[in-house]
Amino acid sequence: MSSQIFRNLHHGPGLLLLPNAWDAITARVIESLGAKAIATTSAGLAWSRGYPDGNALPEDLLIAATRDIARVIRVPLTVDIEGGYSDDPGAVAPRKSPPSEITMRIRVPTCSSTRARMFAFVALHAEKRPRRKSYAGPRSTVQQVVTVCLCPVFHPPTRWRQSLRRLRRCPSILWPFRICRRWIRCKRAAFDA
Amino acid sequence: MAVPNLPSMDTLQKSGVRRVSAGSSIAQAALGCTRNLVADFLAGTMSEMFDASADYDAVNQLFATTAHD
Repeated sequence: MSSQIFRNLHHGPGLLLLPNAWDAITARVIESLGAKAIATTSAGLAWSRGYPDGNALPEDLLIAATRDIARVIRVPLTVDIEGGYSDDPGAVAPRKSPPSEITMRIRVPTCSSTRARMFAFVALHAEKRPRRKSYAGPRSTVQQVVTVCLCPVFHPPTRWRQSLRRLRRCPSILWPFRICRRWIRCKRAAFDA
Repeated sequence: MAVPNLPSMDTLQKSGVRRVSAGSSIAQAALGCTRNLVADFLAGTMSEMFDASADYDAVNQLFATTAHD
């Protein structure tokens, strides 16, 4: 199963390096160079379809783009679907060639900092989010990653307030990138589960 | 996600990191290259257009073997 293969890649001797494709040809080029797995770039993918990055790409176009990529490669694929949800769980997953993993990112901008750039990530287990699991389909792993960027606000305030509410419900939060052991444990737990 | 001034891969791995992605940087590099070539072309220059070209046949062949639909 592709998602299991993908998870196993995280337990190899070295880092799993994930080049990011945004369409079928870039995915094939990446695969032809020997990448063990491929990720999408939400920005590249949205731009290729004529939308800005940041939850603007309509879901049907994202699914179509994912299908285009999944159809032409054999290595595992992880798709960044930004903050996408489905209110209709059975409707939208690319069931024929589902990606191995779907990562949902919620950017939470805060005030800018002159100190070192820091990112916060939270990994949540798929089991805690059945609706996203339905979105992904039964053969995909869903990981929700919350990115907190200490940078000038680039999302409308309503969006990041929603993200903050979501963030407060997260069991563990990494703050500075350099102080990331708790996050590492959380991530490890997510992949080892 | 790879960003400028990221710690070395070795440091990341020792910290327990399992994977690193390139994020949007490859897409941005491709767009930067596109922008430069188009700007040159519109200015009447094609001096760099063929320097970093991917071979046409090689690229076309990438889809010759993708038969699973």
